[in-house]
Amino acid sequence: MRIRPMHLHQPAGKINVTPLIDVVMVLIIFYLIVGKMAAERQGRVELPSSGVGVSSQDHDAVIVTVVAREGAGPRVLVDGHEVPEGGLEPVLKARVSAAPGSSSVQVRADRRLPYSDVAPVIKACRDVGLTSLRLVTERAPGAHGEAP
Amino acid sequence: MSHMWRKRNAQALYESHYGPNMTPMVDVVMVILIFFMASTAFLGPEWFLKTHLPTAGAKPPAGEPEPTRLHVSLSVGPEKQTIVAIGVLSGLTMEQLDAKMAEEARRAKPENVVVLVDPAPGVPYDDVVKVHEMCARLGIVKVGLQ
Repeated sequence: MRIRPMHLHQPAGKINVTPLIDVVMVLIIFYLIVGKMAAERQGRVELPSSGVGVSSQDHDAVIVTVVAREGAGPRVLVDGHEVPEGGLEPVLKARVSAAPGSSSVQVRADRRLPYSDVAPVIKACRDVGLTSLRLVTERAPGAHGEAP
Repeated sequence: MSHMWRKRNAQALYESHYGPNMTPMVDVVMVILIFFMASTAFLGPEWFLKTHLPTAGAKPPAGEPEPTRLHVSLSVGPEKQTIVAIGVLSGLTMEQLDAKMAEEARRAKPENVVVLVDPAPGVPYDDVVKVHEMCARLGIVKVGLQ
């Protein structure tokens, strides 16, 4: 009599992981692409590093990015949209007047820039009536902790 | 025993499985897990340092004691290094500024110290942030940027 080996059949109750791996791989690739696109949209910036800071997130904040360019002036982006030179103040004014009193601005500027490239952003914020802003930094390795 | 050797088709195999179907649940859990991992990767490494934008002629609120004001001027030296002037002291390095501010924060309490950072155009933005970092580390929260 020929005996058929049992292991040819998949044991009942065993989870088939093939669709799971398929879905996970698709998701990983999706997030990698989306992450890269989001980073490109915000502008590639080498942030200054800081050992202290505040990690809380304000999702309604206006993000002003100042990107360094080789052999040219900096690129200024507001929430990922490039702003022409001298056009920052009207854009900020529109954003601040849309949410008066509760709007905050985060400045993501490249560490390699001289202050003269960041100063117009600071001036525009002051001119639209803002009294404070947040400088975005990269968390330094071995950071001390949260700022008071 | 004879049922173990009978020929099975896909439907029969499917029906022979018992227990809940784990695949949709595991899919959803993995999506949530990856979403949180991606969120952490995006939001994790960034910190914020708050700075104020003082206007000319601004005065402290009535009733508050007069704070210790430190005017920190940053300029660029002949070797492209950042030179600091604080009050009447000039020609300081960033390390000396750190020591001086620590001394001021000890003398007057950090909450009574107001620092105004006044960088020259050629000063690296990185050094402007470093001054804010020093203040945050010392507990000085009233920091302004000229």
